[in-house]
Amino acid sequence: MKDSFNPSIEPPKKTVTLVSSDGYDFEVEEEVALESQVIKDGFEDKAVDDREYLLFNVHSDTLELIIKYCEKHVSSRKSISAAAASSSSSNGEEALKEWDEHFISVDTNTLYDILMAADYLNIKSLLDLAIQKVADTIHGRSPEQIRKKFNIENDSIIDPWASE
Amino acid sequence: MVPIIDLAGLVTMGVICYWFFYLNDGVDDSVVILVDYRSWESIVIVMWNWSQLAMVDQVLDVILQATTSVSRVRANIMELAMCTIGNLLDWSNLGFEPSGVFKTVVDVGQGSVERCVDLRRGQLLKQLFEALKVGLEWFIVSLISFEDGGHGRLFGLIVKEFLGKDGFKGSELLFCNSHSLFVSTHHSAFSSDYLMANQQGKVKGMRTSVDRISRLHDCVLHHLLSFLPTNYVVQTCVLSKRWKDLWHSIPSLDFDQTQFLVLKGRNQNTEGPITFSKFIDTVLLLRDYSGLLKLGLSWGHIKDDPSRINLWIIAAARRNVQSLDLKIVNVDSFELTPRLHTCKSLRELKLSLSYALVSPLSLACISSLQVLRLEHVTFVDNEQTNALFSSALPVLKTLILDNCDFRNHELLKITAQQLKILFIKQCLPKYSLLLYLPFGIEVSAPSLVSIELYLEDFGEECVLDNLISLVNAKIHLVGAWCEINIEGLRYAQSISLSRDCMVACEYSAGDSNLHKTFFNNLKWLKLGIAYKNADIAVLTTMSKLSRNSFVGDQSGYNFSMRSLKSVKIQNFRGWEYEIKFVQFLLKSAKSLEKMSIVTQSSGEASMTKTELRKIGDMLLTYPRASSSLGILFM
Repeated sequence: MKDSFNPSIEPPKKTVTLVSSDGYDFEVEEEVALESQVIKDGFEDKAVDDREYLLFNVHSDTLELIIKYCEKHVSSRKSISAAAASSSSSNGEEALKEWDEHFISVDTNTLYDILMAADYLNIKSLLDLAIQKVADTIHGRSPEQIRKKFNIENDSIIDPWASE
Repeated sequence: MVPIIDLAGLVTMGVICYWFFYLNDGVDDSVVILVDYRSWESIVIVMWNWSQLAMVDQVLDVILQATTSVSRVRANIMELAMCTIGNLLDWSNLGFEPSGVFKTVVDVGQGSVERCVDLRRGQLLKQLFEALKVGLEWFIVSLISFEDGGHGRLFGLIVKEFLGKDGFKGSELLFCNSHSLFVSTHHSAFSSDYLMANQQGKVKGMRTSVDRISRLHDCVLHHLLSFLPTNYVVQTCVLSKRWKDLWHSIPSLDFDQTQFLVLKGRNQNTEGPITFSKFIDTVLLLRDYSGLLKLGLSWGHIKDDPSRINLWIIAAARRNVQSLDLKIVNVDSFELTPRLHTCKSLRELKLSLSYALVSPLSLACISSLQVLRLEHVTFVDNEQTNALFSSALPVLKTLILDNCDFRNHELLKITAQQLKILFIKQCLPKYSLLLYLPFGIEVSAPSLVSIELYLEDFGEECVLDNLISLVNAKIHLVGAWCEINIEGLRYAQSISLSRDCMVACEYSAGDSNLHKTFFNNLKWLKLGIAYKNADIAVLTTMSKLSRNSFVGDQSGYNFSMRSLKSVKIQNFRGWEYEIKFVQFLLKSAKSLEKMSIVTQSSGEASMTKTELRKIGDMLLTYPRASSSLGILFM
């Protein structure tokens, strides 16, 4: 399907409206929205003129980032498969990886926003990306450092490390 | 409203530092503005993400009230704001010369520092410094977690190395973090010349501490923990009540002995107070009985009892483990427990040994196994091995053999019916290098979709047969004196052959069926071409293949490569036979649309520009079969 897509004919693109928790509308192309497994499930059952999704858990700031991510992945998937078909050596995947790396280098709060939105929308690759980023932060740190880093309050009655 | 923190005290140092925070949601680290008070021209806004673009206007209003050269400041800020300079990786995308814009101030954000230190080992930073050294008067580093050690110190070393040695001509180097304008003399790497006076405490208490990680769902946290070695996972149980029991049910365990080693004496490793075996025992005892997806084990870095490994595997099998990843070193032989034969859940097995002996029988009969990856494994019994790769694993889909030693084997047969992906790298009887023994590989797999062979000094016959589902093939032989029947790949859509492979099929082409074979599905062909002495031979081989793959018309040796549309030639040196080769292509390919020639840009053989032009002009004069051809000469 994707391969036979011919840009010169350009049919009117189908769009889907995503509404953020703070009430902003985002109109995105269908295939971009379908990156989300949640939207994909039951997408066909929904009437074409009723393709509006209220995302109560996703703030507009985060949604903007999520859409940016999905758009990039949809477009580079296309260009990678096009490159593979035309046999030109593709370093597209590496470039995308670098883009991902760059994309996820955000402050902690934005990272959580992305992580939770990716979980809510069920976008697996993005969830993995965000989680890997958090995991990297935990790796190699002592519990005390982790608590400090993530602002975790130690509410344990007995601290097993202290007792040793 | 944006709160403004009065830092009047800092004006005396020539710096005003405003810290702006989002009030909603307690977001911190949002926008940092540093204003060089002495000349209002140089302003740097560090934005942590695009969403803060809206803040710039509010911030500007504040600044504009206090300055007279309004237009200039605004212009500067907007220009900077457009390029998210908080992230160093953006430097390459800026599209303008950084030194021109950042005459006086460079601000490096937290994220970039961590990335530089962790990922790029300062390379990016080095480039940045090189670019900026000329006009640099200020250097500002924002470190949020400066106090927690590593990054700050490492970064200091980098700064010292790059700025100190080459002479930092500017006057100030300022470090700040979100708690305070931070200066530390106990980081010995920072020469005090570069540092501002200690202003700790001026902006304390800004950070709102919100614990967001603990609020995530269990399944998200499990997912998170599955990215970590198990020793770090277990450690999280002391964080807080929320985390106490979390690890009991995580679906993936990854035990790595190297995490438990401490250096003792001269390069001698020993285990710390908690031994590796004891740790695994404890984890498996305390873990609940929820299903286990993956068990990873890296074992053998110190002397220990290998019999426990199978106990752990049994424990995992009882919890319906799906994937086992075992890296075991320093053992002579290893037998997997027969208990695995009754384990119906195991789909994936990765076994990496230090050339330890394995009996194929212990691997056979794992009836549910779909992916088998063997690295540095030694097999001795030819018949048993062949049985393993034919029928013993009925649903095997992927087989990866990486550096395995097939000792005493004469013919390795891979005939699994459902096999889809086959990858073989450097597999031959190790001892046959000294004492020449014949060794061959025979692949006959009707479901195979992708085959990749990387073989060096492979001395015998490679038979490819019955590959009717093949799509991708990569055959990479180096220094091989072997026979290979390339026509076995005739169903593939994409084929890549190394140079020596071309030579090999040239040898065997004489009496084989190659010239009678049609590569009907072939869409993409990559050939390693030797040029040198074998250029004519290669041309013929190439023609033979292409006659069958690209060509409909077979009138004698005048091939017309009718369907060939695009050619790319790399490492072009302009030598005579290379030009001949290009000439040949131009003459033969009727529907060629694009030919790109990439010249060798470095090394002795690289061409000068005039030579290049000369050859380029010459190429244009050659007769062409195609009317719509574009030649790209680089």
